[in-house]
Amino acid sequence: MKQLARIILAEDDPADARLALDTLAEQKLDQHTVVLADGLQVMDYLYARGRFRNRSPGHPMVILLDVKMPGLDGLDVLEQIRSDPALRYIPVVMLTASRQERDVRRAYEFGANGYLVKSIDFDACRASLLAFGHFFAVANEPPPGSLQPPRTP
Amino acid sequence: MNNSVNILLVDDEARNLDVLESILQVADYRLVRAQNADEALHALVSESFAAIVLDVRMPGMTGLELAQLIKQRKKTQHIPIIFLTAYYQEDEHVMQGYVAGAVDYLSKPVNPDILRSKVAVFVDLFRKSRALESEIAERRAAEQRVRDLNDQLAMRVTELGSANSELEAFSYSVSHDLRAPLRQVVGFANSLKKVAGDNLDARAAEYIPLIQDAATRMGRLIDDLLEFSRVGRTEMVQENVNPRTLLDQALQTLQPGAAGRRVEWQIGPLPEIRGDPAMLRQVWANLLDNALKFTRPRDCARIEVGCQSQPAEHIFFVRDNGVGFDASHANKLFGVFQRMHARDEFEGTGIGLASVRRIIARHGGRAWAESYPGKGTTVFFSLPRPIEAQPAVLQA
Repeated sequence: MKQLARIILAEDDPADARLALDTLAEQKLDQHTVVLADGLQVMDYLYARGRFRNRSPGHPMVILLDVKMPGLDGLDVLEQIRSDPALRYIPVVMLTASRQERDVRRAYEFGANGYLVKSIDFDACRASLLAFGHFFAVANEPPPGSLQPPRTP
Repeated sequence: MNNSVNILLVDDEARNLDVLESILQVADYRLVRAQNADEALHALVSESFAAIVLDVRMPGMTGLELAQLIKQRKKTQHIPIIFLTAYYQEDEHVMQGYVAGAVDYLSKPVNPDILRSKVAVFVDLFRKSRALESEIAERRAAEQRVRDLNDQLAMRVTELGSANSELEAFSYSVSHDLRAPLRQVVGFANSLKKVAGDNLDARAAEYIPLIQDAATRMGRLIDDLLEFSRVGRTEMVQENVNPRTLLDQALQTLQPGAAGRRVEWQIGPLPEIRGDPAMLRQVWANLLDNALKFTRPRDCARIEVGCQSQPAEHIFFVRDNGVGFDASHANKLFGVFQRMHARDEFEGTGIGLASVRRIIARHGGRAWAESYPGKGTTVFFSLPRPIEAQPAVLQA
């Protein structure tokens, strides 16, 4: 049985996914992250169906969701998650290249818990991704039914 | 336009018609004769008449019966009729049964002056209504032209709207897709530095920040170009704004860059203007940013902001004692990506003044510059004065 991941990273650009994983690796969170390339795979993972039917049960601690993905895009996925009572409390953070107010507002209207901008400034990107990982996959108390953070006794 | 009018003369006696013709012999009357009702009706069908002079008593169909027919037909019902009668007492009440104004009567023998003046009144009426009709027709045609133009305009607006939203979609995807590879170049260069660490020789290690700088600069160019295109497209608001307030707000965002420098500001009185506050704030920000940038080599930067008001426009200026540039290139200054200095001397993408000119042009003004190498630069921009504020009498 495959281990449930703490973080779902939905990102269709393999280079961006790689950079994000490299950064998360600094906190050893890369091994707790599953990278999915589009919205359908995210829904399959959440419902443990298709190639994910053998994963261990429960919800991830957080989903980092690229807005622009082929097919089912980030906002579509967010909408589906928020409309299913079983999934609606999973923390979702949007990941996008756009800082436009319209896009930010839409993300929050759809019920996002956070909004990370893929900045051209690598250091800024790295810092916000590290802060994200530490908060959502280590420090935060996730909603019941989610994977629990590792506890130090 | 042919100004002659037709007048129909109806009488069974040719001699009477001759008399009528001789009375009504006027240059621009065209007299048409009819000796019975049939001839009269035939004439009425083929032409339009200003008036009918009609003998009441005729064999066959009488003048009164003919008049009834004329008044029943839509095409002829408005033609005024002047009845001629030798039996005034008998015919009077019948003739009065017709609608007043469209009908008149004269008793025989005819008084030539009265007949002439009665016909003249109807001819005048006919001409006036004909002029009115053609005016109405013209007005209708003009209205139709306006409607056509409006339709065309509406079509253009729709076309423009869709072109605009296409542009919007284009720049959106540019901002997303064009930036992603750059971010990755910067990111992987960083990863390379970390992974290779001390294994890189000194020269190889120098290349990494060069790669990152180049990619970052490209990113900034894309951002600035997008900003420039946004300035040309976003809808403008028009409100009364205090330029000093906008200038102070712009300065706040720039102050951190000038920290630790000696800058002597001299800001004169600035009159209220009408325009888009966000855009005009951007104008100040770009101009002051340049002034601060190009005075950097000075021990003490002197930046002067002021306004010279003309009757029709306000001319604002930002003057610095910076490095200046060769004035023969001044016209290039406001172009996109035009830079006057080497990149390692002064940073920037060459978009700032292009945006300024675009914003000012959208406000109906102009932007230009004067500069002396080594002495400094003055950038001017004009804005039309609000109409109510223009003095009625221009002072010499």
